[in-house]
Amino acid sequence: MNETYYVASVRSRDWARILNIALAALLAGVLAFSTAQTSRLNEANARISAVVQKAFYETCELTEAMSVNFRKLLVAGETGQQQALLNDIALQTQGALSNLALLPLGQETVSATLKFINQAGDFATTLSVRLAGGGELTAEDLEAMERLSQSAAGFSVGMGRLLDRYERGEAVFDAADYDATGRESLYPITGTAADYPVLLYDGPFSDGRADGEFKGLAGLSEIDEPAARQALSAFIGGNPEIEFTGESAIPVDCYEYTLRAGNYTLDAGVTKAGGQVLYMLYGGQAGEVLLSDRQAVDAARAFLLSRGYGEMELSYASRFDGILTANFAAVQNGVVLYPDLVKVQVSLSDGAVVGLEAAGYLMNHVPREIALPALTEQDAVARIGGVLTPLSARLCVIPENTAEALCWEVKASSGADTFLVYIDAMTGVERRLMQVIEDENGALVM
Amino acid sequence: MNRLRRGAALALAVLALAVSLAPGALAAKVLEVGSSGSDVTRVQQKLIQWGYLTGAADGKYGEKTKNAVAAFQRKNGLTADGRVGPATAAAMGVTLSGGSMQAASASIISADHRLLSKLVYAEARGETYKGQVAVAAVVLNRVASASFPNTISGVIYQAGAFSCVSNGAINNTPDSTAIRAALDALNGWDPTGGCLYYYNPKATGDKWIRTRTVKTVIGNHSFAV
Repeated sequence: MNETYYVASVRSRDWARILNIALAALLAGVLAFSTAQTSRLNEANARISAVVQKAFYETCELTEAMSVNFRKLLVAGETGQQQALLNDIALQTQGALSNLALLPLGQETVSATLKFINQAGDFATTLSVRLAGGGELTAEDLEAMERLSQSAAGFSVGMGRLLDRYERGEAVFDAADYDATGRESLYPITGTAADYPVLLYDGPFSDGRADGEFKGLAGLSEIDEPAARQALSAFIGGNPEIEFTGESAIPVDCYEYTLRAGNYTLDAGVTKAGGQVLYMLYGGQAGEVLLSDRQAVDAARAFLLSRGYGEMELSYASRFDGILTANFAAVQNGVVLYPDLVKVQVSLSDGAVVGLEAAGYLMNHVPREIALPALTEQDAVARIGGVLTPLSARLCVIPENTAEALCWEVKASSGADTFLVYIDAMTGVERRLMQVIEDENGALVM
Repeated sequence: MNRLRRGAALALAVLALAVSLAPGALAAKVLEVGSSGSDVTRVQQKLIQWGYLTGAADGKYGEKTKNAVAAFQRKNGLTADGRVGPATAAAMGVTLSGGSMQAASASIISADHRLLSKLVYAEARGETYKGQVAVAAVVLNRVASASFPNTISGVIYQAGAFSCVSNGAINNTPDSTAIRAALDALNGWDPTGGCLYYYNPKATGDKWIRTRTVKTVIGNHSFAV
C-alpha cells in the first residue's frame, strides 16, 4: 500500500518534470520557428520591394528616353534615323507599360497613364510603318510629337519624385483607395485623361477610332422580343424550346436566350435591329467523334447557305474536344472579304451546329465598291520574298486599322512551311505576312 | 489493427496521388498487330478521320491498321514502326487506357491559353459556360484596349486587377470547361460585346466599379465598360 503510494508520487513528480521539459522545448521550438518565419518574411518583403523599385526605376528611365527620342525626331532629317528613333520609342513604351502595370496600384488608377504610353508607342509604330512605305512625317505629326515629348518628360520627372518618397520609406502605396486625394499624392501615375494630349492617327489605339458600329445592321428596323424569339427558332430549326433571359447591349442591343435543341443546351443573343443571331454558345460535352473534318465543314457551309449568308469561303478550321470550329469569310464577285467573318462550331458527333460568332460579319458586311487592282496577279507574285515559292494567288479585302485594303493574297511555301503574303493591289506594299500552322487539330493562321 | 488499416489506406492514397501526378511512372502501353479493344477503336477512328485508313473502326489491330499507323508516323516525323506507343498516341491525341493518365492540361494549346484557363477557373468556375467565356473575353478586351497592358499575362498580373492573383486561387488547375471557355474566347466569342470590367453586385464593396455602365448581366456578374 505504502509502496504503491510512493511509486505514484514519483510518477507524478516525473510527469511534472517531463511536462516542464516538453513545454520548454516547445517554447524554444516556437521561438526558433517564429524567428525563422520573421526572417523569411523580411526576405520576401525585401524581394517584393526590389521588384517595385525596379519597376519604378525602369519606368522613369524608359519614359525619359522616350521623351528624348521624340525631341530628337523634331530635328532628325533623315528617314532612316527617324525610323530608328520611332522603333526605339515603340520598344521603350512596351517596357514602360509592363513596369507601370506592376506597381501596386489599382488598375483604374493607372489606366489614363497606360493609355497615354500605349498611344505614344502605337503612334510611333504607325509613323514608322508609314515611313517604311515611302511616306513622310507631316507638320501635324511633329506637333503631336512635341506634345508627347513634353508629357513624357513631365511624367518621368513626377515619377522620379514619387520614387524618392518611396525610397525614403513613405508608404506611398498603402492607402486603400486612390480617388480625389490619391490623385494629388500619387501624381503623375494617377494622372487623368485630361493630363495627356489627344492623339488622332491611323492606329488601333487612336482616339479617333470608332469601335462597335454594326454596318451590317444599319437601316434594319427594331423588332420586339416575341419576333426575335421566332427569328431564333427559325435560325436553329426543329422547334427548339427557347427561354428569354434578358436584354443586353453587347455593344448592339440584343435579346438574350437559353434554348434546348435536340441534345444541346445553348445560349444565344439576337439583335433587336433586324433579329440577327449575334452569337450561339455551347458548353456541354460533344460526344464521340464520328464525323470527319470535311463532313463537319460541309455541314457548317450548308448551314450558312440555308440561313442566307450566301457563298462563304472557309478560312481555317480547328478541332477541340469533339467540336470543330470553322472560320468563314464572305465573298463578293470572287473577292474574299476577311473583315466579314462568321465562325461556326459543329459537333463532330452528329453534325449539329452548336456555336456561332457573327459579330465580324454583322459589323462589316455591306456591299463593297471594289476598285480594279492596279497590280496584276503576276505583278503581286513577283513581289514576294525570294525564299518563298508562290503556290496560288487571289484577291481579298483585309482590315487595315480604321479602313480596309484590297490585296493579293499569295499563298507561298518555304520548305515545309506555308505562308500567306498580302500585297496591296493598289500600291504593291506588302501589308501582312501570315504563317499557316497545320497540326492534327486543323489549320491555324498566325 | 484499425490504425494500421487506416495507415495502409493513407499510404495507398498517397501512392495513387503520386502515380497520377507522375503519369510517366507507369509502364507504357503499346498497341500493335494482334491488339484489340476500345483503344484500338479510338486509334482507328482518328486514322479514318484524317484519311489514313478507310472502312470502319472494328477495334482489331491488323495489317491495314499497322500500315495506316506507319503512314501517320512518317507524316509526323515519328519512327514508322506501325506500333502505337506513348509518342504516337500523344501525336494522335489518343489516351491509352491503363497507360499513362492524361491530365486536362493535355488539351491546352498554348501558354496564353493555359493562363487564361487558369484565370477563368479561379474567377468564374461557379458560373455558367457563357459566364466563363465572358470572363475570358474581358481579359482579351483589355489586351486590345489602350488603357490596359498589351499581353494576356500583363493584363492578368496587373497589380490589383484580379483578386484571384492576390489570393493565389489562380494557381489551381483549371477543369475542362474553363479550358474550353478560354479557347472559345480566344477564337473570338465575346458574350459581353467588348466589356472591360465585371463585378458581383452582391459581393463588391468597390464604389468606383459601380459607376461603370453595365452592358449585360450573366449569372452573378455584371459586365461593364
